[in-house]
Amino acid sequence: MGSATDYGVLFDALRGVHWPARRPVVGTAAGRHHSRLRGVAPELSEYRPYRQGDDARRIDWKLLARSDRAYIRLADDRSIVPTTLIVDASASMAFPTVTRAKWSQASRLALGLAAIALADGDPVGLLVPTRGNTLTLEARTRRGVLAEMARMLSAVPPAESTSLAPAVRRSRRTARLVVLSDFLVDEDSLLRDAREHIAAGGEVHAVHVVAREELEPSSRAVMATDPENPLVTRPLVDATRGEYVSAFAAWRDALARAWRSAGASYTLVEAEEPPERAIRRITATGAPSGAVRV
Amino acid sequence: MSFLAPQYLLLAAGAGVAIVVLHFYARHRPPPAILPTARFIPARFGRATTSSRRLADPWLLLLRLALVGLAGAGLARPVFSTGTRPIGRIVIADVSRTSGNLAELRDSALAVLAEGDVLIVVDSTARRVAGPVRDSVLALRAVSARGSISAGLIAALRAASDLSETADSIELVIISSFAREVTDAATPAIRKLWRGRARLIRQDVQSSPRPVDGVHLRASLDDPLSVTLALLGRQARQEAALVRLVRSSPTTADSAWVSGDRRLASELRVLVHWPALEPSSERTREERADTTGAAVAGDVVVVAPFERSRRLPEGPALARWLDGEPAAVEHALGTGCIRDVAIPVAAAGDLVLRAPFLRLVDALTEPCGGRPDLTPPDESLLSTLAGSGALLSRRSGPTSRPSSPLAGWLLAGALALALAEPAVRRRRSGP
Repeated sequence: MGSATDYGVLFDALRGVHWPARRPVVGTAAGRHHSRLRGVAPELSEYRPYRQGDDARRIDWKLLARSDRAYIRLADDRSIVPTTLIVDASASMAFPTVTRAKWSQASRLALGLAAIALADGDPVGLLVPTRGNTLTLEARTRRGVLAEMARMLSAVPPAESTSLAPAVRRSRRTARLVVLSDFLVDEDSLLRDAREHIAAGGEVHAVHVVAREELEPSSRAVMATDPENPLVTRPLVDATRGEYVSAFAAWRDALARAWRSAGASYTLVEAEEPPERAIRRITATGAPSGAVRV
Repeated sequence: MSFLAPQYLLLAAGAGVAIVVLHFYARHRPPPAILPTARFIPARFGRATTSSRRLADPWLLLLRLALVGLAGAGLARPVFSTGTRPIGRIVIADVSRTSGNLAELRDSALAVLAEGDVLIVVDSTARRVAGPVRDSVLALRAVSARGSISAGLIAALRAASDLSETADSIELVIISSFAREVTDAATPAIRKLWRGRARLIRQDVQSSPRPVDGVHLRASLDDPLSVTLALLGRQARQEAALVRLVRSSPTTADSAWVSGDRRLASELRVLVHWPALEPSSERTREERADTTGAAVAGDVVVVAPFERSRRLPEGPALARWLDGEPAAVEHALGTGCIRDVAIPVAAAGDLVLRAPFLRLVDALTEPCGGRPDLTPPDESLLSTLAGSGALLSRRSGPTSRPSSPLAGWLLAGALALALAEPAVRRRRSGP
């Protein structure tokens, strides 16, 4: 898949899907998401007495007629949620080595989420850390951003071991951050930076991509080697398979707990899962938390 | 080709089967594979054993089978047969003085012996006869010596190791009178060393002991021994006597007379060299004569102040002094024997008249080897000598192990393969 048209079926399946912000955002541009500010949005939220300097057009004349007192109407403002997608391009994402299903799934999830965000009017950007540099597509709502994303993702071969934490630190100003990874590299630093982003008011989604062969390895005996650390070579045989499955499951559970306790959403996605279903689960994590009175 | 220890071939075959089976369950490293989550696999297992329906490492298997095969063949000690006969024979021919009829003995031996067989002649000793057996049998002569079946059996045991290389089985044939004097207390024990049955061909014993011969005395007319011989009634003329007693040094004619070829044991001659007493040399007052109080021959004891003046050569003692030193010895010479006697006979005194001295002279003038004991053997001894069961097999021979020159090369080949096996195994299993 190298162009946006290749993802046409996915985009069609995601038509009408919205991705509300998990919390009111501080935004300057008008958008679909609840803003922390009160503004002139048409939806009524409450009244307050007219004060010197208020816009006279906001006076509720019917209430004035009934009560002989001037009140103006207040409503929640709507804002945009700039979204940055960080896609892990490390060597472990190129698994299985024949199909590279994890990388393909991560690419589809990134483009699907980007399409939904764009449909909601939110600017979308992409960061793909590599060893040499980080491929960057600044957040924008311009037409063609999906095509650019698709081209960028198709041009990156997942082959190197690179930490995602620097990319997270670069995205502090992004309202919504999505990390698509298998979290097998430098996961502690990544979580620490994500926690700081959340504390600063941002929203973080951790999308954990795993392959079925990692969850349920075949019964064939092999000498398994970590592609990102070739020194780690261990026999995956009948005697060790049970312990491996248990250890990997325990690690996933701990990872999920850690991200959720940090305030992020955590979604486990299998590489063979239909991407539209996974995207719906991701976008459905958490409801808007309500307006904050000013 | 045959094997001296074929059981090792069976062991090698069993080991080969086990090796083939193990190669279906070879302990080797599984094939490599990429797995990003490999770090969750327990680290305590270094290698893994896998089984496969396919044979693992066929070249290594062939090397191991060759190693086991060479080792088994080497330990089994192959030998190449060079046309062995089914049965070879070792014939012990007793030509000692108890044999009655030498012609009959020769006929018995010729009926049994074939070319390649071994002939052992027993007379005073037991010796293996070299050369063509037929000619050897025809050359057999009776001797006056006492024979020993035990010596013949020992010689046969030694000869069996040589004969086992040309014969699959060996038959022991003993041709003898089996009189009591040719066997001894060790004969049954020595016979047991021969692990096979034997064939006994009994010869007639001399029908009667040789009559006591007259003794021809060659001495001075007043020699005291003439009195003794007269009292014994054994004086005889020279041409009729088979015992010649000389009181001076023997001549060459005496030696020729005693050693001449004789066909019958009853014709064997005895020369008794019994020097006459020499006057004692003058002694100083401090010197003393070497005397002894008695001379003993068998159960005959003659007590007298004998003055010893001669030292006898080494040889079987017929009589001894009281202190054990030999007083009379016997040596075989040709078919007869010579006796040296160092017992002085005083011209004066009644020594020569006493009965013990008469018996002593009688003993010293007996046929060579003493009087033969011609008592027939008891049947139990004959049964022991005959034995039972199969003939002696060359594989169970009593003597030295047959050699297998090929065994060394086979074991060397196995050792070379054993040294190469670890290197081949490491190379094929990879780093």
